[in-house]
Amino acid sequence: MLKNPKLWIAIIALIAVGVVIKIFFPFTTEAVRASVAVAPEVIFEIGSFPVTPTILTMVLVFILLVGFAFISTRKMEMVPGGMQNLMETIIEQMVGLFESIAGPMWAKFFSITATIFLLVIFSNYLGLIPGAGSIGFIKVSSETHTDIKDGQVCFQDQETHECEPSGIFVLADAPAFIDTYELYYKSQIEKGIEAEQHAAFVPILRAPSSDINMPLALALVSVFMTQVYGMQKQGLKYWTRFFSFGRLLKGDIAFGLIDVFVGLVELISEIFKIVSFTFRLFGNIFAGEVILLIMAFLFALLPLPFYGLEFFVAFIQAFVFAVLTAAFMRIATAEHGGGGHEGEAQH
Amino acid sequence: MDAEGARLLAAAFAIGIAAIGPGIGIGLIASGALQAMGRNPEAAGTLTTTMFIGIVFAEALAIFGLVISLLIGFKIF
Amino acid sequence: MEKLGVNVSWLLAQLINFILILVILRLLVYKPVLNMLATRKQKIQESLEYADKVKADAALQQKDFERKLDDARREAQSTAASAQVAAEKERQRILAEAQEEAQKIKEAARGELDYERKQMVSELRQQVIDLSLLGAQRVIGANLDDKKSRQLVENFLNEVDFGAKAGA
Repeated sequence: MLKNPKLWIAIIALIAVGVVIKIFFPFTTEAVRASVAVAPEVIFEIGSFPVTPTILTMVLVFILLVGFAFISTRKMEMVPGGMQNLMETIIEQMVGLFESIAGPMWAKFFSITATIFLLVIFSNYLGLIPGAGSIGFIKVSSETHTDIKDGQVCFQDQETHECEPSGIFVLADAPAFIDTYELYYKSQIEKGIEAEQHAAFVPILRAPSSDINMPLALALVSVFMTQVYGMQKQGLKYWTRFFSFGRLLKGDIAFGLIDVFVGLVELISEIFKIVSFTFRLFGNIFAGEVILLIMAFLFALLPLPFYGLEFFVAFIQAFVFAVLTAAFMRIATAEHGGGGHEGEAQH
Repeated sequence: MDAEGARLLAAAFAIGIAAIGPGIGIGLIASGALQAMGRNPEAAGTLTTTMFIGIVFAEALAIFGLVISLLIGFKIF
Repeated sequence: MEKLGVNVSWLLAQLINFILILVILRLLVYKPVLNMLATRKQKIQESLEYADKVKADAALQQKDFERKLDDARREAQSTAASAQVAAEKERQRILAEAQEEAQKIKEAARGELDYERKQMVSELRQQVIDLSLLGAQRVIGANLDDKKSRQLVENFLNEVDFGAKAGA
C-alpha cells in the first residue's frame, strides 16, 4: 500500500487542497467562538415570535418530510415503484424494528415512534449539509445601535472609514466583521454612548437537534405518551408504579416503606428520562457541530473523518430515541403495578 | 486562580470524569454483544437493538455529567 | 435554563411542529402504507396458497393419469395374454383336426388297399384255379370242367391259403 504512487499523489493533493483552503478561508479560534452558541440566535421576529436558524431548519424538515410523504403516497400501487418503494421499505424496516422491541403492541406505538425517528433523522441530516451552520450573517443585539439599517449592520473600516454592509457570508469571514464591530463598540463607549456589546455569527440553517427545545419537545411527547399508554392499558393501577402505599396502609410498615421508596425512585427515573432523552440528542448533535468546527479550525480537511462519524451518530441518535421510546412504552404497558403484587394477582 | 477559571475547570472536569465510567461500560457492553453475536450469529438482530438499549443506559451517566457541566459552565445555578 | 436556550415559545413551536407532522404522516403514510403492506402480504399468502393448491391438483392429476396409464397397460397385457391363449387353443384344435383328418384319410386309403388286395387275391385265385384246371385237362386229356373238379381245386387252395395266412 505504501509503495502505491497513486496513493501518495492523492494524499499530497489532499494536503495541498487543505493548505489552499486554509489560506483563502483562514478559520480562526475567533470563528469557533463566534459561532458556538448553545442558545440559538434570533434571525428575525414574526410578531413576538423569535425565529432562529433551528426553527427555520425545522420548517425545512417539515416541508421535506411532508413533501416526501405526499409524493410517495400520492398514487398507491400494488406493485410499488420509485418513491413509494422507498417509503414502503423505510416503513417496513421500522415495523420490523419496533415489532421486535415493543412486541405485539407495536401498532399502537408505531405513529409516535416512527414520527420521532423520521423527524430526528431528517433534522440531524439537514444539519450535516455543508453550508448549514457555516453560511450566515453577523447579528448585533443592540437595539439602539445607530448603524443598523434595513436589518443590516454597517461596520466602519478603521483605515478606510468606508462602510461595509454585513450581508450573507461564510463563517470563516465572520471574525473580521466581529472584530471591527468590537472596535467600533469600544469607540462608542469612549465617546460616552451606551451600547450593548454583543455581536455573533448567525447561520441561516442549523440542525434543529442542536437547539435544546427540539429534543425537549420530543422527550416530553415520548414520556407523556408513555404515561398515557400505561394508563390506557392498566387504568389507575398504573400509578401504583410510582405511588404504592398499598402495603403501608395495610400495616406492613417495613415492606410498605420499601414500596414507597421504590415508587419514588421510579418517579425520579421517569422524570430523568426527559432529561436523558433531551441531553442525549442535544449533546450528541451539538458536540458534533462543535467538533466539526474545531477540526475545520485546525486544518481544512480534518473534518472529513469526523463528518463520517457525525453521519453515523446522526442515524444512531434517531434510532436510539425511537427504540428507547418503544422500549419504555412496552415496559409501561407490560408492567403490573410497580413494586406491588396486586397487579399480578389481577392478571 | 479566580472564580471564573475555577468555574471553567469545574465544567471541564464534570464532563471529563463523567465520561470515564460510561466509556468503560459501553466498551464492556459492545464486547459482550460482539462475543454473543460471534457465537450466535442468528441472534445478531435482536442483540444489536438490545446492545443499543444497554449502551444508552450506560450513556445516561455521561449525560448527567454533561448536564452538570453545562449547568456550571453557563452559571445556571 | 435560558442560557441553555430553553424558551417556551420555541418549545411550543417544536411541539406543534411534531404533532402536525405526526398527524400528517399518520394520515398520508402510516395508515395507507401499513394497509398496503397488509393487503400485499395477504395477497402473496393467497397466491402462494393458490399455487400450492394448483401444484397439489397437478400432482393428483399426474397420479390419476399414471394410474390410468397403468390400467391401460395392464389391460393390454392381459388382452395380449388371453389372445395368445386363444390362439394356442385354436392351433391345438386345428392341429388335432388335421391329425384326425390325416388319420381318416390314411385309414380310408388302407381300407381301399385292403379291398383291392382282397380283390386281387380273389382274382388271382380264380386265375390259379382256371390255370390249374387247364393244366390238369392237358395232362389227362379230358374235360375237367365240371363242378366236382372245380370244387376240389377250391378246397386245395383254401388249404394253401390257410398256410399262407398262417405264414403272413
